[in-house]
Amino acid sequence: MPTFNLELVTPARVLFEGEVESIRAPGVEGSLGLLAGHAPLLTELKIGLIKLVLPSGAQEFVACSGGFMEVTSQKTIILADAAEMAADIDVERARKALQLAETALGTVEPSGIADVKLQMERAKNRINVAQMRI
Amino acid sequence: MATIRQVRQRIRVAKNIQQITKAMKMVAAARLKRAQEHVQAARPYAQSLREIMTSVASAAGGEVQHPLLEQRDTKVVAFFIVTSDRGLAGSYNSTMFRRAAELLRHYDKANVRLYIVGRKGIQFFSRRGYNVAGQFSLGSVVTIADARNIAGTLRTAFESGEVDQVTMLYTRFYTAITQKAVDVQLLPIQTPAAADASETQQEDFIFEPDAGRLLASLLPRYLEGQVFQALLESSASEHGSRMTAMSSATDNAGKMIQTLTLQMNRVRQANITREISEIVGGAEALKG
Repeated sequence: MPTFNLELVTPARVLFEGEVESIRAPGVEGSLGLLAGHAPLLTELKIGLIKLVLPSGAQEFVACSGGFMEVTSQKTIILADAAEMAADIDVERARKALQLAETALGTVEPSGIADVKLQMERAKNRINVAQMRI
Repeated sequence: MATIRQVRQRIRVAKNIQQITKAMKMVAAARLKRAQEHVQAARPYAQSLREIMTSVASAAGGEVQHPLLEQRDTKVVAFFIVTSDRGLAGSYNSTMFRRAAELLRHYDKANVRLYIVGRKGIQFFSRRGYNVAGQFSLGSVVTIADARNIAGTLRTAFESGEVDQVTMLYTRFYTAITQKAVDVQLLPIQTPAAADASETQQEDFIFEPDAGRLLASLLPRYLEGQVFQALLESSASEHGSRMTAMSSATDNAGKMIQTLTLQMNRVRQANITREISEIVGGAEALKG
């Protein structure tokens, strides 16, 4: 199958760089599947799972906390606000973050509720993605 | 002429100082290496973000309205200044203070709000009667969370109309011995110029959602990214500056020890000579 070049970067570092066969990413307007030769696209991503299929057939799962994806004819760039490979996720920490957010939900003032909900969503996503590892 | 004891004491002091500066130099060198790696690791994100911003901004055209882009009459200006928590970093902080003073001269103190990272800067500016509206302190490693926190504060200040412009002052890192204090306008955000757009080849992008809304969610990230980059560069500069300063301090202590040792030997020899001539003189006197 034809492959294309993907660069997955977070503010702190380059998380993944290399050829992939396909990508599934959580676009704000619905889940997106990408194969080689996709039309130029620029989209925002929401919190969710990114699935990469490598040329070897192996799959990589990445927890993404929102960001952007740019598809051009040369390469695809995913700019994630934060992202972690499924294998690197610290489930214990994610659970703690979730608990913390849940308890905060009761005490926080109305303006902060949206933030706390996002925190919960990110933690849940990380726990879910961690379960995908083989 | 100093006595041997006094000179010995001074040598001991110089040696102690040398040990400390040597240790500080080594610590700074290790931290510099790490900071440099972080700067490098963060570059691809900043680069890609700028590219995407350019594509979106040129596609969205001039009609974009966003609170972060709003040009207003500048009545109250804010400066975001990055300094260090600790001293003994050579000219790192003083260069920044000089650069800041140059810019601040043009404004009335009452119309200036300062947002400062680092204890040294906070001390310096609050002592001079500036309105320090925000104080931040960083851990030994700069994280994106720090940058988000700071960017959020600046954003709130700008959006609420408390300040009409934000300029960022940080130290750009070139090498361990060359750093430069630079200033950039942070808010209102200046979207990358159309000149940059011609370099990246124009592709017909599909935007999801539309370019205007994409830009609206890109802008805050762009701000965070700029702050993050500045913090990383400043941190590398601080360690580089400290390393260079401590390295020359160690060398100077070495030179001082050498001169003092020479002086001590001279005094010791003079003493011996004097004692001998006293003995000889005494013996001569007895003979007569």
